[in-house]
Amino acid sequence: MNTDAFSMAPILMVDIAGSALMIVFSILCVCHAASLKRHDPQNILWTYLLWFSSGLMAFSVSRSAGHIVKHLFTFMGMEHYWIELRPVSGSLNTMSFVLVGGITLFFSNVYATYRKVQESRNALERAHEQIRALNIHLEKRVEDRTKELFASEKKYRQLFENSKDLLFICDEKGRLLDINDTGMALLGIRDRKQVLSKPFLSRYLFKPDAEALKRELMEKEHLKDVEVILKNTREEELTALLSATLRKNGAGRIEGFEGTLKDITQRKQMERQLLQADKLASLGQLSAGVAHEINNPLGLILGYARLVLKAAEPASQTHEDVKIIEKHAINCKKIVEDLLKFSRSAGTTKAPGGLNDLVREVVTVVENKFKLENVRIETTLDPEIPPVTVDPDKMKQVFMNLIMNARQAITGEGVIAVATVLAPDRRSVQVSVSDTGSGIPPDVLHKIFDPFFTTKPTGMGTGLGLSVSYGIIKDHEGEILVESETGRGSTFTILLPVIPDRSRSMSMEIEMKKTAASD
Amino acid sequence: MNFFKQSFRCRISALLVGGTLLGSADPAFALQVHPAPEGLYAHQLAHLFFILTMGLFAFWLKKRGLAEHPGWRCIRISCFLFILWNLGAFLGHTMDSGLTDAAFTGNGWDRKLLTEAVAYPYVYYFLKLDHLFSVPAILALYLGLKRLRKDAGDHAA
Repeated sequence: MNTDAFSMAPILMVDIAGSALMIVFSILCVCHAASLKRHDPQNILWTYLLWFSSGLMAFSVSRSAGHIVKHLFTFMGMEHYWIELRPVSGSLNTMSFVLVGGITLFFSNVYATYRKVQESRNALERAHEQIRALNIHLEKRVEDRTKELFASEKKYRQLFENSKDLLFICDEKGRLLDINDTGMALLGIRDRKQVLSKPFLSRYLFKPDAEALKRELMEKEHLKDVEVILKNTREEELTALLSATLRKNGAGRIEGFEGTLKDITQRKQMERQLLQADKLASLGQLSAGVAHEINNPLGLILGYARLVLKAAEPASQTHEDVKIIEKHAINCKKIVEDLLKFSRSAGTTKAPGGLNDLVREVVTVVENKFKLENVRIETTLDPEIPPVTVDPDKMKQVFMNLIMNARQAITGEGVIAVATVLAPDRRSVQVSVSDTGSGIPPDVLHKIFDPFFTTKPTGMGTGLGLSVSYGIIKDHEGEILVESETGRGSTFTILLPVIPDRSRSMSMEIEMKKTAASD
Repeated sequence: MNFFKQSFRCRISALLVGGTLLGSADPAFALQVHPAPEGLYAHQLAHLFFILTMGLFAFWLKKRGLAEHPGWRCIRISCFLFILWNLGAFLGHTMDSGLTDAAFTGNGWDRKLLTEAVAYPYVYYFLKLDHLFSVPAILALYLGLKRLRKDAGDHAA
């Protein structure tokens, strides 16, 4: 290199090569940036790089092409063309500079907006994910709660339906909303739909007054074990214990009430029977004591009366007077004997035997007499009933008492039905005596087995007939029950235990031996 | 009342200034003339603007933490090289503007720079080799984009 002048050849070479490289690399940059943009079109950074590369490519092509053309024109001696082109090339270079710079400057603002949008989008996506997760969780919870509710509903529905007590739900006006199957059976309801939305307590409650009971419930907000009498659709009276609770909503407004009715009819009947049995047992003990005490003096009175009779002239006043004493003493003796029978102190002779024969014997005695009085006796005797252990005479006395009572209950024409049958449990034989008489008033029904209790006119009965019958049946380990309806008649039912099979076969052998011996 | 008084005074003043300017102006052409230096100034301002934007972009890459990534790091280097190239070009253009054809002898490959005609001949000579900055700058940009493309592809895979 000359110290006075520098050759421009190296500059020329670098310029041409550099320009070519600028064009090549700027095109490659655009290709990569476009590839990035295609890869993720939503990414603003790739968009910027594509714009930037494109601007730079425009600049490079403009500038480098200008430089190369300039050198070409110079070498070809056509510099005047370049002088014409130079302002255009320079302007294009300037514009591309400004364009690339503008894109960069603009990008920083765009990117800030993009970031905000992106952050909002991410936040939205996160919120969406959270909502989705919550939704899934909520759906699961709803599903679980629905299952729990279903199980709970099923459990309480089963409890409601399977309860052996009557369960009911009423609205605030006392109209029935629901009742369980037990309740329907108890009240004789066939179709639930027919009773729903209709008054409940006032329809089926017989005692006490339904309105009074409702008032009490409203005041106390609950009722517990109130004894009530219900009347079902079959017009049967049922004793039940009512418990009910008032139902209020969150605001304290009464929505209705629900409750239970426990059927205690059988329990009450049992209680009455036990009470009766207890009373009669006490009376039996008392009667036995009194009878024993009276029996001996009566024997003496009768003995001495008979001695005086032997000594007295037959037609004398003394004889007549003593005869009256003897007669009344005999009556007293009879009463005492009856009392002893009632108290079961008198001895009995029991043996296995059929009840049908005993019934026929008694019926035969009274049948003709009753026929004349227009009272018919109908007998329905089950020939298959097993034998029972009885004292035949005493049992006939019981049958006679019951049939005579039945006759006396009938005014004018009537029917007395006598039937024997094996009880459904096959452990006892039932003998029933029914009449179409006047029936027994409910208020005296519990007294009929009491000694000396009678509804007959004075002199017509001692009031010992049923007491004696009761005593005899108890002595046979049996039961005597009565059902009566005023104006329609009464039914007395005797239950006598059947002899167990083994005992029966032994008794049969004994009977056969006795028969063989007598032959 | 004061507000209306002030507004009136302002209008009177504006009318007086406007009237004075219009009344005292010489005759003028409708369009302003743009002589030769304007193109150079516009080009030089464009270089400065480009320097500014590259500087901002490099700063932005640093601030966003993107420069830690190899691809973006190359692009950031490219920014600095573009700044250097633009500075060189700016200075080169400035020195060029002070030279006449008398500073050169010969044509084509034989063209030479007369050192006495230039204040700083070595500096000028070096600045004329601006591709020594611009080519590495665009090469760095290319490498950065290539790396970003590769990483984006790997990430997608």
